[in-house]
Amino acid sequence: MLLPPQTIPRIEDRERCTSSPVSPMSPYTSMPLAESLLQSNLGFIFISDSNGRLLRYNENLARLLEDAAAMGFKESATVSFLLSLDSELDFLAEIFSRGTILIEGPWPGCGPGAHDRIVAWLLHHIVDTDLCIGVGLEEPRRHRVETELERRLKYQNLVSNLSSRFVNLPPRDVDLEIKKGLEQVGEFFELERCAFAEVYPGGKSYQALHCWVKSGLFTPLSQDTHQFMPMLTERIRGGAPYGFSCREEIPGNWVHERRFAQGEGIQAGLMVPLKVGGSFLGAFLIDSFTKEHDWPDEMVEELRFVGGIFANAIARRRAEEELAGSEKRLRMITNALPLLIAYVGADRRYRFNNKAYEQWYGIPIEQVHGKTMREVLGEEVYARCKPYVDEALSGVSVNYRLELKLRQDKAPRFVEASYLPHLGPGGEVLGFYSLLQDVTDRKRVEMELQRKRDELAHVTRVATLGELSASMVHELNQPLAAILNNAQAAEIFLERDPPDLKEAKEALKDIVSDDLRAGEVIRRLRAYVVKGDVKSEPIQVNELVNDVLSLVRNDANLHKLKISTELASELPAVQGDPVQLQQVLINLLLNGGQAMNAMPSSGRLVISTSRMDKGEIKVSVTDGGPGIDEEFAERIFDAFFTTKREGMGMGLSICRSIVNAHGGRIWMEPRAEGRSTFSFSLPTKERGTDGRR
Amino acid sequence: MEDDKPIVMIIDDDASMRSSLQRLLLASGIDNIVFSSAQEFLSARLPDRPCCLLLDIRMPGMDGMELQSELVKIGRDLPIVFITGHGDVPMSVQAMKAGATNFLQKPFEHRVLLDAINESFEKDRTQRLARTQLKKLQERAGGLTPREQEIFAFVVSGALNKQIAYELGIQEGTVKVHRHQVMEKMQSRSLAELVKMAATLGIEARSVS
Repeated sequence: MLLPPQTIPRIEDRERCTSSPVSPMSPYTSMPLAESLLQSNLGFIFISDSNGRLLRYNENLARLLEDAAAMGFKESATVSFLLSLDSELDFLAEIFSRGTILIEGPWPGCGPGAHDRIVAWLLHHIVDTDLCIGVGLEEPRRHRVETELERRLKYQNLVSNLSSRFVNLPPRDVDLEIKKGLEQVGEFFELERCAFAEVYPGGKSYQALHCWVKSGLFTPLSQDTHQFMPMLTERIRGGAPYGFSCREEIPGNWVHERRFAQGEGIQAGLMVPLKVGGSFLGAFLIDSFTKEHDWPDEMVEELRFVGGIFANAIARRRAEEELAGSEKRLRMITNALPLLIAYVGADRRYRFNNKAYEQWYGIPIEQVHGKTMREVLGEEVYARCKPYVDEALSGVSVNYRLELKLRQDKAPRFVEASYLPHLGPGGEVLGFYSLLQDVTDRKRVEMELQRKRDELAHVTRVATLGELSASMVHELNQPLAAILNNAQAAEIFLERDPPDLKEAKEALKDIVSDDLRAGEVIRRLRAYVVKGDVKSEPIQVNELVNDVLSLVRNDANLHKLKISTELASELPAVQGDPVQLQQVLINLLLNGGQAMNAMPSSGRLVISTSRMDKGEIKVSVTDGGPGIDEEFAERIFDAFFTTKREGMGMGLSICRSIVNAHGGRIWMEPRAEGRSTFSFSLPTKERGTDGRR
Repeated sequence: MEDDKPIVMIIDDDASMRSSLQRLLLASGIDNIVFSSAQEFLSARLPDRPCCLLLDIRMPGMDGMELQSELVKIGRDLPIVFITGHGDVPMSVQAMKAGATNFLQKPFEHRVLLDAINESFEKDRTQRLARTQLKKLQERAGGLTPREQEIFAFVVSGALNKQIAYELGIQEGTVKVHRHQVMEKMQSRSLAELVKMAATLGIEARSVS
């Protein structure tokens, strides 16, 4: 049977049945709502495609369609059948463009009985789909269905509202939002008092963290005190809701609860347990003061769902606070350490820096955070660290020591660094920990130590200057003796009759090579004596004397040798190599000391500096030794001349070479009382180099 | 005879010293063998000729002084001429006491060297002679009977035959016969010589009580 053609439906726009503005994103036309409606027995619900074919429908409608099929109607599962339309295509297009359409009937005599009851169809386009939902409203339940629809819509709204409240919320704002949210809940569910409480694990009391009351008419639950409610708390932790519609319903043994309800004037109450962090540690506590109240299951479910949103927000805030707290603790520790501590992510950005970074880089930590290493360290420094950073990010621990200039205005620092890769559960590198230590001071000490060692080696070398080591002597003796043997052999061979020229030649060949060998030894000896590069710089002679004294002080003490100085003041500077001049002075001191060794009396060595005519400076070493005969005065500076029993006599000749090279002279002044004084002079800038060389 | 021509053993760790010494000795007509270390010398078989050592005091490993004491220990005290690069007075005294012939300081004239070597050769010759002598005497003494050995010991104490006979409880005539035998076997021409032989052999005179 076809539809009566004379019925032309009146198409009327109809505003949404809520007070919220029309919006394509309104939950009213969303799939979730559509789904929930389908599950309900609110009238007749269907979902159709854009061709008007019914895709889904609720139970009520299913029965109706069954009836229609039994009655012989073909193709009843279409919008056109339900709406008794001729053509629905234009009609559906209307829906898709307007969003909502209400079509009033009735359609008397259109079909089986149930069909008759439908007085209007509410049709909606489901957003983001090419589907539409239809709700058939029947009298007398029409109003109720409409109210219910409205309520559902509001609920959906509430849920989405609450959810978006807590998204990306900084922890400090959570409380305020909970307050606002509770207000919404209270209004929606038409409550008088609604509190969000927390139970303490193992405890028998709860504390109201937040409470809303309807416009100041009722007293909120105290947030400071713990309400001792053993039975209720236990129920909460068990996870099952509890509600009473009137006070008498409260079990007799719930003593505290009864008393509390009585005291507060609570007529009906509902407790909905909520999970905070995995266990039931929270609850909605709803009280009704003015009347007794039933708590329908649906409401409890909805409250449970909504409560979950609050519980999540609180749990999340707790976690963040925990995190912030532990981060705070971490900072406290790391800031106290004299190291640079940082965490760098795999993207080479700083995630964590301790306070030391502020001192090193001179920028606040907040400005370091999130920046790449290259940005913070600068191109130059980063280029030097980069190979190690790469290695760390490949999963290898690395240590290095570098001298880095971290800030343009500061001196370079010696840095010892460790990079420790941070691996994720699958072995991937998530970042690395960086530990840096400033070892500049330590390095300075090391370098100072090395310098002193070098100095010591130098002094030792100079100390043996006067007496060549036995091996040196031996080494010179060998070629000399061999040369003599060969020369004599050659003589003998040549004196033969006839002369043995062949043998003589062989002998001469060996002589030549031995001679060269000897020359090598001499060369090595020279190199041994002269240390490194020859410098030329201004020298304060008094300082030179003091430097030498500090070097030989130990040895002097060891030999119980007293050294005193008589230094003139305000001497001009001389130009030369401080190391070589030190060598000269040390040698003179050594000689003086050795001379005094031979004497039983304990005299002292005296070093004096003074001005001479012609702008020269004189340095003298006077010893209390036996003195040297005048006749040796000149020869004493010759090489290989020595009055010492064991000695090669090299020291003074080398001293002479050095002093001469500096433009000065060295001589001996025998004094009375058997002392001797060795002096050397050095020119100063005062009289310049006017032909003095 | 070639056997008798003396030979010098040169021991020095320095190659040019070795070769120059060799050359010099060669020019002077003296045979020589070179060794580069004391150990090498000790493990070599030495020719049976008069010889002496030309030894460098300072050598790595076993030095000159150590070699000297080693040689004394094994009973081969060959005459040694030490050469040294240092004027070690205390060392030279020690060396001489231990039996070195000479102590030369480098560099030395070859005359000095030759004298020292010849002196050593003489010494060695003398020693070798003495050794040979001793061997001969020992052989001779080995042929004496026990009784003859007894008589030998008494005779060199200057005891009369009568006294010896009384001491031993035998006839004087028997003593005479034994005495004659001893003189024959030992090839001694006089009592004095026999006494010397006894001393050389280390046989103690026995006096009659």
